Amino acid sequence: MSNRALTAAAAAAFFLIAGWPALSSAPAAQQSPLIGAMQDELKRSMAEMRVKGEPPPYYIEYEIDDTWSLRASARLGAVVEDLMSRGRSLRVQVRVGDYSFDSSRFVTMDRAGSGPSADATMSAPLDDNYDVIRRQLWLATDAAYKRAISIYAKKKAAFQNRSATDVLPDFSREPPVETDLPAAVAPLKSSEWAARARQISAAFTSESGIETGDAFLTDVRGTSYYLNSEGFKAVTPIAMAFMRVSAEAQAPDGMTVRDLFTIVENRLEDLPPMSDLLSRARRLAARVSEGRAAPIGEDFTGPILLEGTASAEVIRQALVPLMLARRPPDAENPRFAPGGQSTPFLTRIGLRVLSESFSASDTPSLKAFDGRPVAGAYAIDDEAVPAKDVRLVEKGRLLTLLTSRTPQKNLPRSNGHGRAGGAQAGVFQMQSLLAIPASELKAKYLELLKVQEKPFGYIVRAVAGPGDVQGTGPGGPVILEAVKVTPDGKEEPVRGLRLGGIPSTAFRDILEASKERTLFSYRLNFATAASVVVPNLIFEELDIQRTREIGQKPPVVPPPALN
Amino acid sequence: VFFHEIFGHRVEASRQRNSDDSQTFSGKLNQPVLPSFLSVVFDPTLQKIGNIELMGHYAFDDEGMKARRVTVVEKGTLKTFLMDRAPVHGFDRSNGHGRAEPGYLPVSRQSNLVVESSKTVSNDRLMDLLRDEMRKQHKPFGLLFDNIEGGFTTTSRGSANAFNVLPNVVYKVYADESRAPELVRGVDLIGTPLTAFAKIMATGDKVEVFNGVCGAESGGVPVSASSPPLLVSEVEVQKKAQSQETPPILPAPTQTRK
Repeated sequence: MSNRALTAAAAAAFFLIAGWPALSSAPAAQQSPLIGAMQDELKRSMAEMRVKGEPPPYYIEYEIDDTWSLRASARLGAVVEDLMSRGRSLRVQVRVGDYSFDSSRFVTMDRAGSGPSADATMSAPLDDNYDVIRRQLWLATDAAYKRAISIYAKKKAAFQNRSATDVLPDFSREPPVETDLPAAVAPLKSSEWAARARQISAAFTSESGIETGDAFLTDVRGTSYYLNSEGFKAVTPIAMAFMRVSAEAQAPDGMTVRDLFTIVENRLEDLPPMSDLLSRARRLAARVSEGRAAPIGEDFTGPILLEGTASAEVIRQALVPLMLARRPPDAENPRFAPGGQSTPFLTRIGLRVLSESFSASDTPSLKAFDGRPVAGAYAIDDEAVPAKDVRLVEKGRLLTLLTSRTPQKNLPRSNGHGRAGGAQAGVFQMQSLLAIPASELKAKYLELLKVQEKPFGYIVRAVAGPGDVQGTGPGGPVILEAVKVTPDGKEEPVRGLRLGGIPSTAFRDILEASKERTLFSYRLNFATAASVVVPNLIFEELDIQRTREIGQKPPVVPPPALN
Repeated sequence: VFFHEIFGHRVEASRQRNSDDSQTFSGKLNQPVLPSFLSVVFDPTLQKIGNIELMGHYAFDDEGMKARRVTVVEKGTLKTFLMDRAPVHGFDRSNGHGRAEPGYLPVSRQSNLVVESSKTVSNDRLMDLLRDEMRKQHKPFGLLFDNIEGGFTTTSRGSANAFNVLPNVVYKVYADESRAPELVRGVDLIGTPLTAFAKIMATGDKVEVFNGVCGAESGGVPVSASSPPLLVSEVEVQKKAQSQETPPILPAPTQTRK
């Protein structure tokens, strides 16, 4: 594409997004030297960067993320980390070929495992020094172009030897969009947040038997500058905060008893008030302390009631990934193809995937739910494509999937869900036309146990996120909080359980849902969040298994007495 | 760096304990290991040589032992090893060289290595000796290694017990004195330890210091090595690893935006 064409295409299709609430009141937009350097070097590279006998770049993309990062943690009332840093990262992507077949999405033998695309991330200067930034862009673009040429040659060679089946384009065409949402970024004082972590983690000193209790906080805020050769241009805020509060104890039999909660917000200031956090931490401490004496649960297959964040975590881990139209890259040697398959839902569009009363959607425009900010809401995705609200399931039938600019079968265009390196959800919502009040859900569940002649069932109230809990062996999400319930309604806390693998067909047999829904947010990467809004759910059949954990003997001497 | 890699790492006591290690010097106690005009001391109490501060200076090692000067080689004869608190045959006490980067377990490591020579000549005279040696060996030129960026060595039995020293300023010196030395690039010094020591012929009189961070099993620790110039009658050089990347396609951006 020549420069002239670039400008023309851009001018024809520009439209502007405005009015998204920024971190704080936005100052008059001032052209940053960053954008200037990016524009000038991009223009020059598109026009002049050529290697004789090789294809020129048809697409170049620059992104500079300017961030302040805070990290604070405390254990049992003492600060462990108190860090504040600023950084700028630069990412350059160059593609050669064309939209239908290009240098992307291909893992070469020499780069196996190091990522499929010809892009590079490095740090960029913090000073707004046009010359230095442009010089770095020049070298990064040069390196990315040379890599793109080499990958393209190998990809072409590999595909010449393969019979063509289902030939899909590599990159979708989208109308260029300019998005300008500058935000004044006020860095936080890390010591203030370290003090809060200290206060929260001190809650764990009040309960006996707790070995360790931690509060961990991060906050990343700043501005992302994005530019590509198609005329996309975006200045958008980066804002994600994360809190994790966890405690561990050891049961007399050596099993680790643990519980935790995580909260993801756009900013630490959006966290619930300290009084709420402290009471949650105290309840967590009490549960862990009491959990040591709880019996170990039993393997179980049958109806399960998932409540609150447990329901949200299960949907996020087991259902949301099925809604993503991801496409794994091809590889020079198919044996070294990076794992990951396309979702089985790709072939189920039009078919029933949820119970008939259910609908589901992804609504990045939902900025608040139940009076709380929704961290997963966003205006444009990481490819600068405006986020669309997408109806995914109606009356149990799958309508479409969430897409990025990497086309999938029958899904040629992006619906603004290219986030964190692939198609991702923003704000996934699920509801049932036949929902009943949450208070009536337990009665329904007990009825079900009686009909199925089950001597007991499980109500699961909290499960761990991926990577939250280590060393528990293979299986589904680890259960943090569950009670064994008998048909007469009696509840008994149990420990040492996890969910088994959840097949994609399990969601067709959700029997009941509550009217009340839980908002739960989680991290996609260091700066990107997603949310789910889901009801409490009764599944007709799920597996519950014991965790297989190699227990350590409890400490030899009792804990030192607290001062 | 030459001494640090080739000699220093092989007198760390922890390497004499590991049966997988080559233990180049284990059986050489009280035997000549270097030319008799050379002594090697490790002295963490030394703060400076001339005006240059030494990075291997410390008052106590990372096992809390007081730092002290240790003469490892006296007039060419191996006297002891660098010791941490783990004894080896014949040496049951630390000599203040148990070192580690924070977060690692201390093992015996180097401090300030100082090579002392009793056979020094002026640096000019050393150049004359170099040219004499070239003529004797019928070589048209010799090499002068002026500055070095680092090096590495392996001491395990399973691999080649060799060293690489990575110079970054090298001159080609011609036997013909009328030809000026030429700056050259792209060579590394390689070899095996015992052969290399045997080839040291003489030393200059101007001591130079290399300060650096040495990385090994207990992490990176600051060290220094000081030595006069060495005249070595024979050493192998190999071509440096080289990138295959072509220079940038476009010239550097020069225009500063108004």
